[in-house]
Amino acid sequence: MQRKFTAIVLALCVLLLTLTACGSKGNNGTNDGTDANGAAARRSANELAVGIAQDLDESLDPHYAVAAGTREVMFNVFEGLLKPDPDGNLIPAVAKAVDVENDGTTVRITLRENVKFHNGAAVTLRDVLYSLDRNRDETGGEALIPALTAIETAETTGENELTLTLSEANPEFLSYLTFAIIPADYTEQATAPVGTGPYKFISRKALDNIVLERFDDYWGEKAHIQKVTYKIIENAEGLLLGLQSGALDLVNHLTVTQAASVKSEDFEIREGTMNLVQALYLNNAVKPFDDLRVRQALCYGVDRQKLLDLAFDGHGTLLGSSMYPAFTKYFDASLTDTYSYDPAKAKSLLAEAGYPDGFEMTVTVPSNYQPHMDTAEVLVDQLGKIGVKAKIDPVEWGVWVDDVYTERKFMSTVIGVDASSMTARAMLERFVSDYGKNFINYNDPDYDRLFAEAQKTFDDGKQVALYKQMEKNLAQNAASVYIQDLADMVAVRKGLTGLTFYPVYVLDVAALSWSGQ
Amino acid sequence: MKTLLKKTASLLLTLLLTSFLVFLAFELIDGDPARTMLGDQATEQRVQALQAELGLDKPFFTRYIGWLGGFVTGDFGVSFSYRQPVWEILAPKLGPTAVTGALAFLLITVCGLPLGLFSAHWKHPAVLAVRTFFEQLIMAVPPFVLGIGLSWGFGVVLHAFTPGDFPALSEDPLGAVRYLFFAALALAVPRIAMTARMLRMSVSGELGRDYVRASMARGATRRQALTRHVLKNALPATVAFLAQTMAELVGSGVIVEQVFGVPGVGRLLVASIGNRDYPVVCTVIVMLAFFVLVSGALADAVNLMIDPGRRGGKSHA
Repeated sequence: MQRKFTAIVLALCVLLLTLTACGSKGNNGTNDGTDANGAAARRSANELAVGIAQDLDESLDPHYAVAAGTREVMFNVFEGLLKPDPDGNLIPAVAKAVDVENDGTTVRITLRENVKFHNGAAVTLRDVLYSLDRNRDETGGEALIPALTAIETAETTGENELTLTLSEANPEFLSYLTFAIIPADYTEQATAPVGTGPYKFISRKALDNIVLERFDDYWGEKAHIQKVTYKIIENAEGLLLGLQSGALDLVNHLTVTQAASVKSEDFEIREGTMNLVQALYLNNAVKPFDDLRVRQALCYGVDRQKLLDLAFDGHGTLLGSSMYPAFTKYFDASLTDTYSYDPAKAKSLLAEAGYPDGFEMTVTVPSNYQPHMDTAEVLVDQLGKIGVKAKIDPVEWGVWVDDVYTERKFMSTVIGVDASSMTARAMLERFVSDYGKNFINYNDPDYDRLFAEAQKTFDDGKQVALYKQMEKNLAQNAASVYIQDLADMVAVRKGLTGLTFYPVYVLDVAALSWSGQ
Repeated sequence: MKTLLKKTASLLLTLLLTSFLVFLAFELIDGDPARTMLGDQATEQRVQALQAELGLDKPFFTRYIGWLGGFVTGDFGVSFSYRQPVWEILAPKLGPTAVTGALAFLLITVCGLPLGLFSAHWKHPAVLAVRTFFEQLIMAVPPFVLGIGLSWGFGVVLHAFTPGDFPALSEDPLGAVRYLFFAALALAVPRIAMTARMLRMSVSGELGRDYVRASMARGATRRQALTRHVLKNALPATVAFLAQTMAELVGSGVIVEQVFGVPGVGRLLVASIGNRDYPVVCTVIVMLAFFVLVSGALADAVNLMIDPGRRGGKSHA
């Protein structure tokens, strides 16, 4: 027995020793492939490793994918007839030109020549029509892009020309022509997507990585970097370690604190905005938030600048309504100061509304979003000072979507709301009283009227003015406690240039390059 | 033979029950898969269309029987999230998790058992105090902190591996194993302390017994008594503990997998629960349950080998 035991222990020891020896030998042998040299190796091979916290765990079909994280990556793979540029303008992509005629009721699309899909096939009008029809088809209920149902007819009017006739003019219509153009009748989009963008999809390994490669037959200016690997690391500390170890070259959406910890000789920190409206959204249909004075009291009772200082080290852009600054055309900076911090006024408004001693409230927060959790904690503290006893109810994302967003069973929530398309409508329609996604139950006849009017106005200037009035309406009625557009901190390895911020949630990899490559 | 049949039957029954409970849990908790997937922009029609596509509009038992029928014939279904067969997603995760678990288990036995045995001899109060201090400290460190510490020390400072750059097991097996060794270390360290403590306590318990004194009275040295008799009696509890550890290793590797960026089963399980992707969750859980049950059975077998007289669970001496 004794001998047997000693033998087993000895054998295991030898095994372990061999293993570690093996390990250290491998270490010396392949040192070029590890540590910060890994980054150097990638650089000389003209490759890039990007760390992302969210997996692309859904259908990769661009018309069905919904997660912002998926769109952010696939922006490099797919293009629409038009696509956004960094300044928020729409520029021609698969279309060579899009002309609006007849007071906006006719849209003439000229297809760009020599645009190829990643599978080598040329893009034809048939593919465009197929992609268009997929998004406006109403047979399964609502169309994927409801705004496209304004198209009455879509006809081929030339070899490379398509003419759309609209039931009514809408200056925002063109923003919806950014839907991805995909090959007709190709059935593997969900797992092996094919588009026309500067990068082609190579592979996806669940919770591991996504690989893209430069598309050499791209119609426009070709991308610089040959191969991009997105590594999925859900854990923020893991991402930071990946940067320091040389495994990653770029990580975005870092918090201010996280970004501060990577500052080293190897990295540059760039600051953009997340392009969303973070607010303490109030359920306007439940007591006591059905009372304007109570909602205004909360607005006066929150010191937003201090919140930014405490939870975000002062980074972020304060907001006063449901619009963020990257939408330069629609953003009204003057609304930011609708409510200045005034706890005394907050208390008197509460007393006036019948709550001299405050009340209790629940703030439902999706716990996987640290910035929202941090914000909620500061809010709870600040609201306490005006007598409002708030408590945080952290929930899973799926539960949040179900309970708060769908069922509207909540009092208040901290969340960031963004735009699904580059239109003011995407930000503002969600507060129209009978709109299906009006999760805060906002109900103001003036607001509804302004929205209806904006939809009928073809004059761009007049429409913008109407949208701005809607923003003002939300601010004055204190629909919610508008807080900020979060800072988006990006760590970029030195030598990597071309990082561009967009008004939408994308990372344009085609613009990136290693200096000296 | 009869026992074997009985054991197999009970194993299958347990697995069946497990799968049913997991299915039921998804029925009861908040969060509809289709709604979770489509997020906050989805219209009711799209949610319903997706529910129909995923078969979620069918009644509970129909879905369960359908899933079970597929499972027993080796068809694990299609992941709701990835739209890929579950097996295609799960298969590449098994390697890294198995290697990490095996390495961790090796470390635990190789370091934990001798440590426990030898530290049982220690008598000096100062030594004991130091021992207790380190034991408590090591057991108290959360795997998350330990993982970051190890990644930082061995990865960023010593460059022994590159945290965040896990080489695929099939492409660079040696590199992958080296990488996983550090993840295994993070898993193993607290459990080495636990195993050592466990063995030491049962050894100390046995050392005070009559048969030890009798053996020593017959002329055996303390050391001989320890290895010849005491170990034999102290080991079964430790083996059971190790079996439990083995089962735990597979399940509790999530944090370590996340910190080290290892594409393993734990991360897949957690992400799939969040996504309400129950074809994946059910398959993984049933697999884990199978593993837990088998390690339990294995522990029984090992204990039987150590001491055939223990059959029926009677204690020796």
